[in-house]
Amino acid sequence: MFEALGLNMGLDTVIVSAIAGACTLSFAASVYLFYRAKPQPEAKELDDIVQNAPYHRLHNILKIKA
Amino acid sequence: MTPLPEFERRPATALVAMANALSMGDAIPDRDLTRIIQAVVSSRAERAALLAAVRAANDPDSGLTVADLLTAYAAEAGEGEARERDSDQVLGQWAQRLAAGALLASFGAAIAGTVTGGAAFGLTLLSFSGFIFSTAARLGSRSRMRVKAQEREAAETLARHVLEAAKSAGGED
Repeated sequence: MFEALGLNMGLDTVIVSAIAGACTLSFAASVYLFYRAKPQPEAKELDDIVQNAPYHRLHNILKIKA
Repeated sequence: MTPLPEFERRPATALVAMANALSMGDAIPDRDLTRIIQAVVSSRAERAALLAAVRAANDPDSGLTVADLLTAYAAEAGEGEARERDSDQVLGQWAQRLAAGALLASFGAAIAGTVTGGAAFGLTLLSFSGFIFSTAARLGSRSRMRVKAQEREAAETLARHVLEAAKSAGGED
């Protein structure tokens, strides 16, 4: 097979490499999907943000316990 | 006139404070704002506290700003959901199909005797594990899609309710 192209491959080599290539593509796509899923690292803790929110802007609008 | 209730420092009041600070021109880091909105939207207690805070606020505009922030967050979540769905349909489905096709092809080659012995076994194992891997990846991506859809809906509903609450803001007068 493929002698016209100057390649000297048997049918089994072609089939094995085609299947291995398909599997590689499939793995690559799955790895990409998993890689996308990684959550962004949190910059700060939620408690930190809550404690340091600009409560002084609520002056006269809402009473916040100090 | 009854004295105004005092509110604790919690995500819901932090969100109202941030909305007011934004409308007064202060800069708030986007990530902090998103984090707070996420915390408020995903918790029933915080949702209730937010509605109570908006109703008790003396300024009806603060409710409007909060509702707008929530709507913007809902749009963002919808965008994330669409992106997730795209990558699932473009990559996930085809990764699964490719692996399933490779599995069938390696079975066929083994049965026909074109590929024999260790190579046939290795190919079957490789394509089978590829199928399982891509299925797991798709499952994860679909569950993230569902989470985003839920966040979007929750934020939209909350924004509507906050608008309603803002109409009766400063309820005692």
